[in-house]
Amino acid sequence: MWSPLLRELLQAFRVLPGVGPRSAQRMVLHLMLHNRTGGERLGHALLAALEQVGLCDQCRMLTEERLCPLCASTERDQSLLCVVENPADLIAIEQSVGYRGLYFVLMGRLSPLNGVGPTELGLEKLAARLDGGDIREVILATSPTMEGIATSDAISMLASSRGIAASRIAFGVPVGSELEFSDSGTLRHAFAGRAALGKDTAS
Amino acid sequence: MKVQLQQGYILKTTPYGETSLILEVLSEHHGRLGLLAKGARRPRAPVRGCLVPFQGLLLSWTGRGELPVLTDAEPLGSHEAMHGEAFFAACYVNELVLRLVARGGHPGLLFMFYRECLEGLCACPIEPSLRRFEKQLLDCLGFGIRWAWERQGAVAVAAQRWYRVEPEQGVVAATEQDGVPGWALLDLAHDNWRPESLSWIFHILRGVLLYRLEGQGLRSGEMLRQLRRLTGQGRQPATSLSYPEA
Repeated sequence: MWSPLLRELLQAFRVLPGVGPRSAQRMVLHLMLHNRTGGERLGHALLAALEQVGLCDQCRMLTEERLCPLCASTERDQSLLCVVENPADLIAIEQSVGYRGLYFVLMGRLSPLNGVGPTELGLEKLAARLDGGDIREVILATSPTMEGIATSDAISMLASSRGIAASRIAFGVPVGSELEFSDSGTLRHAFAGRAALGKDTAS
Repeated sequence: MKVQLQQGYILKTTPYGETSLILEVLSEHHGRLGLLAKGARRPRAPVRGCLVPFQGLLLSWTGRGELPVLTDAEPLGSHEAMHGEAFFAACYVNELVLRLVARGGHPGLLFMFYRECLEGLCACPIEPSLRRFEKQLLDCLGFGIRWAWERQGAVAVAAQRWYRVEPEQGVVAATEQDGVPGWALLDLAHDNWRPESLSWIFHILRGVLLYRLEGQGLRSGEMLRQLRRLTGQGRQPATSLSYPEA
C-alpha cells in the first residue's frame, strides 16, 4: 500500500511521543497532499537543530550558542542559581514565576539503580560553577519524588561544603485544591514545610 | 492467577512504552518478581506517586509468566523519604538484591530482613544495618559462612588468633599479615557491631560479596564516592559507609 519512502516517513514520525500508526498516517498525508512547503520547512528546521543545538556551557540548557540567552543576559541576577531537572522545568519556571536569577539543568535526577549518578547530572560542572564565587544562593527546584529529594540533598551538600546557602522550593497542597482530597504524602510535606505567618509574610 | 494485597517493596522501576512501568518487586510470599504497571506514568494514574522504591506497599496483580500485570497498589503506612547517604545505602541494598536474587527466587526470610534493614537505615548509624543485611542475604541464598568456626565447624575461632575467609571453604587460619582478627569474626557471628569491628567486618563481607557478584562491584557505591569527592568528604573512614567495589 505504501511506497518505501512513505513507509520510512511513517516510521520516522512514530519516534515522537504519543504518535501511533494512525496519527503518523494523518501527518504524512497532510504534508504530502496539503502542505509540502511546511514539510520542507519542518525538514530543514529539524536537520539544522539536530546538527547545531547542544548544551549551554554554563547551565546545560539546549542552545546552539556557547551560552544560552539566559546565561548571556546581563540583566539576570548572577548570584542566584536555580537547579532544575530538565529544560521543561526551566521553561515552566520562566513562564510562571518572577525569578530573575540563573539556572542549572541537571538533565535527570540521581538514580543509581538506573545508572544516573553525579557524573551523568553534570555535578562536576555545577561544583566548578559554585567554586567560581559569584553564587550566593542555590534554589533547588527538583521534583518531590524519592530520587528528586535525594538529588536536592546531594546538591545542598555540594553548596554547604562551599559555604553557599541552599533552599528548596516548597512542597504542598496545590493552590485552589481541597485539603480533604490531598494524599497523605502531600499533606505531610505541607505540614513539614509550613511557613510562619507574620506582618511581613501574611500577604 | 490473581494475587490480592500482597506486601511488597519495589526495588527498581523501568519505563516501558510511553505510559507504563516495569517493576522489580520483592514481595513477602512470592519473593522476587517482575510486574507490568500499565498506564502507571499517566498524569492521573491512581498508582502514580506510590510506585517508588523503599515504600511498603500492598500489591495486587494478575496473570502468569514472566511479567504479570499490576492491578492495584496501596501504600502501607507512612513513607519516610531517605536522605543523603541513607538514600545511597538503600539503593545499594536494592542493587544487591537485584544482582543476587533472580526473578522467581524466593529466599526464605529475605523480605523480613529487607524491611528491617530499611527501617534501620532511616535511623543512625546506617552501617550496622548494612552489614547485618549483607550477612542475612548470604545466609538466605545458601552462601552463609559459620563465622565463629574454622572450616565450617571443625574448630572454634579464637579471639586472639588471625584468620582468612574463603567464600567456599569458610574461615581458615592465617597470619597477621594476610588475615583478620578472630575477635572481629566473633563479633560478626554474634551481631556485635562495635565501631572497632565494623571496618574489619566490612572487609570480610566485601570479599565474600565480590566473589558472589563475580567481581563486578555495585554502581551505588561508586556514585557515593563521586559525590564525596565533590563535597570534599572523599577521605572518610571505611567504617562510615562502605560498599563492595570492583
